[in-house]
Amino acid sequence: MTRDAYNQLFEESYNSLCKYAYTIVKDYDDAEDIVQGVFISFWNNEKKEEIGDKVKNYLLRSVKFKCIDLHRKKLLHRNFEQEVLHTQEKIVQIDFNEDKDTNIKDVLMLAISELPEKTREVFMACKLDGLSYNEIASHYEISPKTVENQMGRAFRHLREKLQHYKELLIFILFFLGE
Amino acid sequence: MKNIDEILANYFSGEATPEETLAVQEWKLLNEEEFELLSKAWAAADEVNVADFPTKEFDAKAALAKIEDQLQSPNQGRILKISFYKKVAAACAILMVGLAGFWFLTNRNSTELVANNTNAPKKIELPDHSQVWLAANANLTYATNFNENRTLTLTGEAYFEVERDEKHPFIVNTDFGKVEVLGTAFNVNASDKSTSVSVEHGKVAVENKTGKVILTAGQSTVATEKMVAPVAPADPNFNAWKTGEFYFNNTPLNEVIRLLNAHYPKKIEYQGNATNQHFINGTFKNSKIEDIIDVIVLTCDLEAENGDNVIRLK
Repeated sequence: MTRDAYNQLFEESYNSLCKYAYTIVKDYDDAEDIVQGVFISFWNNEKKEEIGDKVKNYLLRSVKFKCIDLHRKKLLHRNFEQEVLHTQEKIVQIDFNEDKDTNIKDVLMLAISELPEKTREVFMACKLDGLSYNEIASHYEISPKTVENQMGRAFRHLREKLQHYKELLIFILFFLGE
Repeated sequence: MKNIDEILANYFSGEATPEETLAVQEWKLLNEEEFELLSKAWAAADEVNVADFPTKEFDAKAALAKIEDQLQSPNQGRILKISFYKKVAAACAILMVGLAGFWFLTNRNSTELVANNTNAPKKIELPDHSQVWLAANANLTYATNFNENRTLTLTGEAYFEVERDEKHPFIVNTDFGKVEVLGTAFNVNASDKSTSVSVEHGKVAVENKTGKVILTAGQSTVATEKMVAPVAPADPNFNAWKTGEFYFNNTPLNEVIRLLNAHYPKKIEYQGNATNQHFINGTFKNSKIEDIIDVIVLTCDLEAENGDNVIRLK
């Protein structure tokens, strides 16, 4: 891989990998540190050519591992502080999937985090709050047609991402499918 | 006319008209796999939280500039990483049958070797994120389970910045003793005659069969077969090979050449017999080797012949 190709890959993927990392670590600086670290070790890895066209998948997985790793470390640190300081503060156990492989949830998180904020708000209002298009429209003071557009956009993006990571996900269907 | 994305969105969020539902059912027949993935993703979205998502953009250009100097350039030469286990496994294949059990043992205790086969210092990161600068021709070995067992063996010279981890002491083994540390930065030079250790900050213990000393910032010691020397101030140039910062204070020319050769890829050769009659003064911070040579040539009244890989002093 040439430096130019690497720079291009970096500029294409950096923002969205940071966004994805944020969904796990919930800290802007940590997210950036992790993604930068992954890119550095990727470049310095002699075997990087062997990864070939699976590079985006490799990056997403590496970022996921590093995020989980950091989260574990923080948790350990908190446990340690608690033991030593006898604080009564309860540790908030953040729930995230710890599967070793990239799965639907990861691709979903990546896709949603890449959406423009407005589109994401509409998508979440529909999915999580279970609001109808009309309710969302009156809440955001937009037309129901615009809500439909935004939902369509969210779905197009989600489909693109699912398509992109399809090879990874198909085997999940095999094993977990009904 | 609505596009398929809108129709799918309507279908999944329960907003589809009967015609749209029919259209999706047709689409599903042709795109079974994708429909399945989409259904699963839609179901997974139930566990998602609005607060999970960032509300700002990340600046890729700035980030790329920031990591620039940590990206190794391919023409700088490479770090050789050889898995000892692989070598041992090859040997086993020849010995074979009777020694089958040996494979298990070596597999469990497999080690990594990191060697700097270039002629310039090289930075590496250990699995625990400790940073190591390996001097030219130095090498390190450590067990593959390094995070549980932070013990490594050093030949040659290296500078360590150790990640703090109270539960796992960081130990550098050399032929003439071991250096134990919690979290700190220090320099170890394990030559074939002695091991010298200098500490930049933090605290380390240097120990062998003959004794033990504790070093703190700015201190150094030398361990040999027969002793561990008493604590002494660290040489101001102890990690010049890594930093490229040289402090010469009536430093003999042969010592100056030794220090410069440890840092710069271009090697200096002195073709005379009066190295210990010349002394150099001055501070150089990341100067070009040619500029330092100019100063040496002027102070010592020598001549320099600047070749591709070598500078000859006469």
